[in-house]
Amino acid sequence: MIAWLIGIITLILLLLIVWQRRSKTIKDRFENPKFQFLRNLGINSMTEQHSQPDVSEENNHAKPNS
Amino acid sequence: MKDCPTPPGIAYRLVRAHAIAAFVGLVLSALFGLAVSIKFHAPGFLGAHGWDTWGRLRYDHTQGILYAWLGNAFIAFLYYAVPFLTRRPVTSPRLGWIIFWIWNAIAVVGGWSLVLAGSSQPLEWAEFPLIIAAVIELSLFLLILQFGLPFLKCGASELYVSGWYLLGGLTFTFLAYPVGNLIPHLLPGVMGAAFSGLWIHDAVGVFITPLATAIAYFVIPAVTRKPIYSHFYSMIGFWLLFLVYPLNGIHHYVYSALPMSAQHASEIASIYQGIDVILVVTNLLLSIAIARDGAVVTDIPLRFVWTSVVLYLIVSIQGSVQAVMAFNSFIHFTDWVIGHSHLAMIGFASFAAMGGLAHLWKNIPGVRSNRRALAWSYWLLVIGLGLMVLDLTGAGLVQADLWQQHLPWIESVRSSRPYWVFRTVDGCLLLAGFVVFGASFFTGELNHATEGPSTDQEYPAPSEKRADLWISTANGATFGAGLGFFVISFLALGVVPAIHLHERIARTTPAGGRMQLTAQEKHGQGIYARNGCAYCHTEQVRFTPADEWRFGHPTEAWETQGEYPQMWGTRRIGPDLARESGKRPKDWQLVHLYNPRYVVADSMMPGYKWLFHGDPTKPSQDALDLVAYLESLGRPALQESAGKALPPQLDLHYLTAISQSADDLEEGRAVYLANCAGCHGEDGQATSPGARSLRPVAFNLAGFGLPPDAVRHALEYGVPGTAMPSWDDLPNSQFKAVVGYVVALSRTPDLQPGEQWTSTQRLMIAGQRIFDTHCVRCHGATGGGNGPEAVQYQPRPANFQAMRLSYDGAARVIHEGVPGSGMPAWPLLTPAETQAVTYYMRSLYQGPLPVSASTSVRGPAQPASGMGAMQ
Repeated sequence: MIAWLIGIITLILLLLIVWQRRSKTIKDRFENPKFQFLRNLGINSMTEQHSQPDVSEENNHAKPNS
Repeated sequence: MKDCPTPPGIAYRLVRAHAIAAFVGLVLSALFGLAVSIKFHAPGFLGAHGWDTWGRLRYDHTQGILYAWLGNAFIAFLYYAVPFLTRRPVTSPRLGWIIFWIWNAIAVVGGWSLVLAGSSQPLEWAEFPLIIAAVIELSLFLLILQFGLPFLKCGASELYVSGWYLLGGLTFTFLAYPVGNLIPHLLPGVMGAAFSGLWIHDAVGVFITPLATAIAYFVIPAVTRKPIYSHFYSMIGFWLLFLVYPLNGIHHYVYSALPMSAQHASEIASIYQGIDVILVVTNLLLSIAIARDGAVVTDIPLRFVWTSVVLYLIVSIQGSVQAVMAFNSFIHFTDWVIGHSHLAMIGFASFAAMGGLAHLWKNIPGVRSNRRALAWSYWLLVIGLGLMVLDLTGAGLVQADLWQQHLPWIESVRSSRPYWVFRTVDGCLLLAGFVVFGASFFTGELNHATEGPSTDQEYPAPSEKRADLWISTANGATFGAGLGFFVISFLALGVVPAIHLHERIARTTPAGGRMQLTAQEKHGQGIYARNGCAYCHTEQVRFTPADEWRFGHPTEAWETQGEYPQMWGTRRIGPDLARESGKRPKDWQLVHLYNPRYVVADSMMPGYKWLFHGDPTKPSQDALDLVAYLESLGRPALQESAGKALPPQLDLHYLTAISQSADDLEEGRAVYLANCAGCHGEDGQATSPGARSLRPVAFNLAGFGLPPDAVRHALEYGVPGTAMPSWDDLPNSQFKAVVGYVVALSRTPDLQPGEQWTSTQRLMIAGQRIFDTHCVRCHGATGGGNGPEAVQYQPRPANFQAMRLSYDGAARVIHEGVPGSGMPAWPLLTPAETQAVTYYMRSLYQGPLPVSASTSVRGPAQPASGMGAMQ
């Protein structure tokens, strides 16, 4: 039973990953909290990110000011 | 690193109060642990009273780390982090002070005190008594009110992953805590163990891990000033953790009477958990890798945090491997697991908490912080922890290997001693690291930052205007999913196994097999529980070859139905006690309880002298009750097997003729000193207090000449009715050597002519007259131990045809009798009469039987005379 449960949830998560990677809107929505958190800390993530040219692909695809 | 801007509504005084309580709790808990560690190799250290015995200090060590140190550290971090995460202050500073005092004054100090006073429960990670458990549950509820409400106001759509972990950790812990504390009191034995297993893992999995991970996700972007690598993957990791971690619980009890489906489920979940941790750690390390300004090295709080992240990966992979049944059968119950738990609690959780505290402390106005001391503490802790984990891992491998071999249990204790000494050295390094860490918060430069706005002020959340259907839906789904995950684990690994077990117990319990403890045994059970006996002695025989060889038939579910709460245990330092009933006589148990070294030379078990009135023969009622409980363990199984034919015994020891060469005698003496001297004394005269306290008293090997066959028989089978156990697990070479040594030891000299009070002929006549008058009814006309009244005694009267008495030994037995046997004292016999009767009895000796080559020791069963009969 546990194996089935874990298998089903893994499948759901995989579908979620695929969905997230295919939709930029969804991806931005998922990534937005990390930028909001930086703003809460008083860090201007937009400015500081632009000063770092090699930020990760994940971050570049995110939408910092949403 | 730039300091954070003016923080929004942080309750600084509460942060400081909980941080200081955490430092104090850390040092005190470590001191408890150090005392426990010292007792491993110096069992006489402390222990003169009940409050400082090993088990109670061990309880306070682990509960102190959980609540006094980590609990306070996490709460301090929550007061700092929640306003940043929600842009709102916590619910109420006044509530904060109520929580502070409940948590520290009642739960921590009260819990510690009650445990030391002898009020506790023998449940892993739930040792504080139920009244304190209720207080902690109340505190958890208040913590949810304090920190959960700002999150609810904030909304879920923009909630950062640290917030999810904090919220999930508090909520899940509130739900899971009663499972481990209360249910084992309501469900017996194996069914209770299923729920205990849930909490054992939930304490780490849903309390410590989420809060430590929240710190990592908070500190890394705060220091690097960069967003984490992927928030999406961090959330995948979050949800998998709360789904899979609680399903691990039963992996603490594999190879047990629990349903195999549940055991396999926990095994699968444990492996899956390792995969989840790889995802989480990869995301965190990629987040750290973004830093380009050297913060990874120069920022010490971040150094603590990334070390914690790396160790989280190692300890999780290790945990997954340990749960695989094939490996578990080898490594479980050993110090390997203790190394694993220290790696988790110090390497992962404590390093994360230290990183979090050090980070927030830099941003608190008006406090001091000493970077140099912090750096020193880091290295002391890294080195101390590394050495400790290596040491305990090595000890675990040695113990596991020895347990697989057919060797006496005490061999694993002897082999562990150097590791335990080294562990104390490592512990001192860790304690030094903790002290220096605490000192770094009160020395060094003053922080001149100014306090932020009042905690009473509300902050508009940037996303508040978008609090639309999406947010309320997300909140509802989150709550439902979280609750669902808890229910899944509760049902799958608790309720369903319990239902199956209930049916199995009803089907398999033999008539009259239900365990019923008497009032005395129940009282003894309570003493056993309160003093942590279950933390060294398991009460479950697993269905592994090593366990079955050593302890007998695996524990079945029906045998455990009288255990409230279960005391299966998760560690073996001493042997399993599930089948203790009938193994040892009561007097041996009492002497062993008073001072284990009296009967087991190299035992590391603490003595319980405070349960006696100054002497092993003067036990208190508590000691008697405790021994009564020990004698009840396995009683149903013993009764069940009473009518069944025993399997044929195997010939274990094949000996060639006993050698009396100097080398062999030297080896035999070494084996004797290691295994026999505890009761019989180094000189074989059994004059130690412990030997004299046994009933019958331990046999005086130097006083009675014994033929090799009698020695072999006693070693192979033990001596029924006495404390002499079977030593058939000695390796053949050691067995042979010790037989030869004991035979040599028990050679009895002849009477010197000058000491003889009259002629040989007169001695014989006088001696026979005395023997016929006083001795013949038990010892028989020819001294064979088979007189008409012999059958009523256990042990049976001595067989003088098979042993040759020394004059000194016989004089002592005649004048003192043998306590615990049918042999009374004969104080009115004069020395001359004693010499005469001894002379006569020696004449009955028929000499040692010839020892042929390749003789099997396990020959035809002999009557229970021999050594035991003379005791």
